[in-house]
Amino acid sequence: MWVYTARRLGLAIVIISVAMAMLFFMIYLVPGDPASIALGPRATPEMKEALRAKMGLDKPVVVQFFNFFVNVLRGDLGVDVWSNRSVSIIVVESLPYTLVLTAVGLGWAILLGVPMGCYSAIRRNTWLDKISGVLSVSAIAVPSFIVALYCLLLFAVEWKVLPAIGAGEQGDYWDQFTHLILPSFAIGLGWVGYLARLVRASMLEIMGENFIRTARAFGLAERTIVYRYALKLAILPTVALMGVGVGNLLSGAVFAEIVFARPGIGKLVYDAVITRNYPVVMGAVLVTTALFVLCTLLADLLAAWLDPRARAAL
Amino acid sequence: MPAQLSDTLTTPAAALRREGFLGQAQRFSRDPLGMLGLILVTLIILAAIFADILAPYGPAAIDVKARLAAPTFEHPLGTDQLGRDVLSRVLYGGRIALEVALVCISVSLGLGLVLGMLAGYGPRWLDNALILIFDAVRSFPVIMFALAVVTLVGPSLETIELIIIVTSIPGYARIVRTQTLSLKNNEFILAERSLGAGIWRVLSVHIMPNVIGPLLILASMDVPVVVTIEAGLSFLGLGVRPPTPSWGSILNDGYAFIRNTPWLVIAGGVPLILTTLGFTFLGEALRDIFDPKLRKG
Amino acid sequence: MDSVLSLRNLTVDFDTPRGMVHALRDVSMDVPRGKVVGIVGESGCGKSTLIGAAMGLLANNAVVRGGRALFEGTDVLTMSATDLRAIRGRRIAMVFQDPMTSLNPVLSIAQLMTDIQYRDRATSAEQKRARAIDMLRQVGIPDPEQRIDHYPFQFSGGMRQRIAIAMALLMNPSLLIADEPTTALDVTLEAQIIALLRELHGKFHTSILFVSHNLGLIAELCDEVVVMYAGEVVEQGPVRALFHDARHPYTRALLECDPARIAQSTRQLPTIPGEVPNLIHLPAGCVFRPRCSKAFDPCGRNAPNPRPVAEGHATRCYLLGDG
Repeated sequence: MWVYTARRLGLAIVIISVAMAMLFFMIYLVPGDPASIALGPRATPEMKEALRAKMGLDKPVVVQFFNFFVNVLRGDLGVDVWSNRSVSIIVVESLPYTLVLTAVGLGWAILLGVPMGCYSAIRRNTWLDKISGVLSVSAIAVPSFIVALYCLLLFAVEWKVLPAIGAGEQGDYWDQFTHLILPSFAIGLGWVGYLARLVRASMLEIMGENFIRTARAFGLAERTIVYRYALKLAILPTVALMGVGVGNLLSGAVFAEIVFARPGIGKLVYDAVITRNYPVVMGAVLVTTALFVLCTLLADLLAAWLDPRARAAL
Repeated sequence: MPAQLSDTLTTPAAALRREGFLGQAQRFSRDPLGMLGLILVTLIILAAIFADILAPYGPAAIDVKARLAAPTFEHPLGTDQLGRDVLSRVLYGGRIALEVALVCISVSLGLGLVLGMLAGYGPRWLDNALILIFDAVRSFPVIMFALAVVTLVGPSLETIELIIIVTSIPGYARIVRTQTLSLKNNEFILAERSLGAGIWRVLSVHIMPNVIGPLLILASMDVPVVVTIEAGLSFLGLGVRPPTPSWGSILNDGYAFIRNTPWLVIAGGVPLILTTLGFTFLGEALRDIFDPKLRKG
Repeated sequence: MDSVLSLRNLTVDFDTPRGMVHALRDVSMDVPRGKVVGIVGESGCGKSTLIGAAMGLLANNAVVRGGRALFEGTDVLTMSATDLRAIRGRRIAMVFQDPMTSLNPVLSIAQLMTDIQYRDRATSAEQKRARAIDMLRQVGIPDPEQRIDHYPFQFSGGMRQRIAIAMALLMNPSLLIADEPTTALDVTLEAQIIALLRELHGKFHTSILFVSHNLGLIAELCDEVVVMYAGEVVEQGPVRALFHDARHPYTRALLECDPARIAQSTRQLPTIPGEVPNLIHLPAGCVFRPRCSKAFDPCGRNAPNPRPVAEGHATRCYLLGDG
């Protein structure tokens, strides 16, 4: 188990490093340099020179890359071009909002998707199964920002039952909760469909296994068979995919935060893109990428740990 | 290369074809969702091709008297904040969406094919290096990566295409690589190589036809993804530049005026939903018929 | 006679896309209390359907055309699902063919064996565990106190089958159904499992319905034998009578084909010529007629009914005199 964990962790670190290198060298593929890009066409050469020195762009590329790497390891993601604040602090400030949003979105997916898939598998080929199948595919296909926009239009603008903008009053948990409902549903809906399909497929496979027949032959209640004997196994491939899910939800969160004007990483990056604040964009992209890779790793390890066969083999 | 030998050796692709096109067409026609997908896709493609005939106005033509108007007989989907006819913009926007999809998917399919075969057939170190790069690219949340690129390069249609191509190559390449690896040591390939066939011949004559089927199915299922990214970036105002119509920019206008009129958001969103659903239904039906193996994983 | 299980004129079809499969036709047989009854026949002869009917575990597309399956006097075919569940595992228990796949891989042996005792609400968890450990010891699992917390994949095939037997006998059922329990095992393990079943039968006096295609095992373990062919019982009787005085041509052919019973060495193993009939379109008359070397005029017209040979010994064949 430890060897496997260490190896997977090592691989994750390598992948993050390569991704970091790509982000870093992307700047050099672009004509012009970040300083002039950030300052726009009306900047004077002096302004550019000052900013270049501030961003460390006057040093050789290799040195820059090395410095960048070391700084990131020290938790220093550079400084905001406009406000001079530390990017790490800015990112860490907005990260919790996005994490809560993503977690609640994943919550929707699990809360609705798993029972839906389970039900579909047990009531295979009934009307409800077919309807749930079509709904699942549709939920997967429809872009989350469309869901967000339509949720906003219906619930916040037309019917005015839920708040449209922001994350709610600080300290007022109920207010914060009502502000979470629409955006989290919008980003989680696709994964409701995805989980439903996944759980249905693996439940169908498992309900045909010999050990289910054995359980029936021992007179176990159907409830026990479905939840304890089948679902416990059917959930394993789902757990392993949760990591990928977090990545998708993070992408969705960018749109949800913009549509619902919520603070968070997505809003932060968007505002930074508009003001061409590359250090902030890069820092936020790095943090979310690392988060994504780590979530994938964690999900893999969790799935392995939950399965006694894999646990013993590692 | 002795001809009689290549006749007797049956490739798996040939075996797959044996069921016959008619049988597959028949199975397809019995899948209602697949048929619905086919109809939607056909309609959307036709609407995009004949946009200039179907559209009642030019995409940038302004009707000053009617701004943010609800649907009327003159403007079936209403007008936007500048008084442009939304139906016309939707039709021309479909053109942009499908154009982006066509360009991006064919380019990334081609590059993915080459890189995947290189990884699968080439030396071990190349395989490892390519896989590492693919994994690194896939480790970015797509929108985050897109935003980073847009900051550097600036928003434009070409930027969108570049982003989509870079992020979709790994998906295709991985499939091709796996297929190539499993075919590489197949008997018919070994027989061919023992007869002195060169690497390009093996790749183009034997491996290509075997990987192209699953790839095309994957490509058709990728259309919704590509269309979504284009519309998403344009919605953020980071995609196609303003006068160009795009479903995403219609949605952007709609979002800005959502408290004045719901019609812009509806008009920009519905075609996008229909396109994603249509291509998904079609792609799933094709996959179930031609390559049930793809279903898992 | 007191029978634990008695099937009376049981007829079962399967509704498949290709047509009705007539899987069991007019099957009658008994498992007397405390006895071991063997069912022998080729694959596809209806052995599994028969077991399924006895457990009330038929597939969804099964149609019971007629007959009864009485377990301790009650027809399991008309029992409610709840009542059926109440007898399964407690009154009738089953050991399956493939020990590698018949135990849930993500539950430990302790969890599996506690789960099947779920109806004993009065018994504490420790008592259930103690009972499970005791039963594991009886089936020959070494160090059961430790091993009970292991998972199925940590045991070998033979050990898993022992565990399956322990699970089956845990609630002290009156009938144990063993469906080819040794087919997936090698010969040494097979002998061990058969010896174990004999030993346990001696200890618990459970009635056993033992399904096999191996005549040697049947001869070793069973008191009575039922020979099945293409969904029918063609001959049944005490094990001694059947092995020494087989009447049906199919039983005789089976005995001749058993490699263990061939006295002189031959270059070729004997086989029964022909193929098992299609169970959707059955031949007219006796089902075995197309392959029977002794078929004569009446065999093609009507299917023969079972006729007695001796006390407890009956066969479906016209060769036994008047038609």
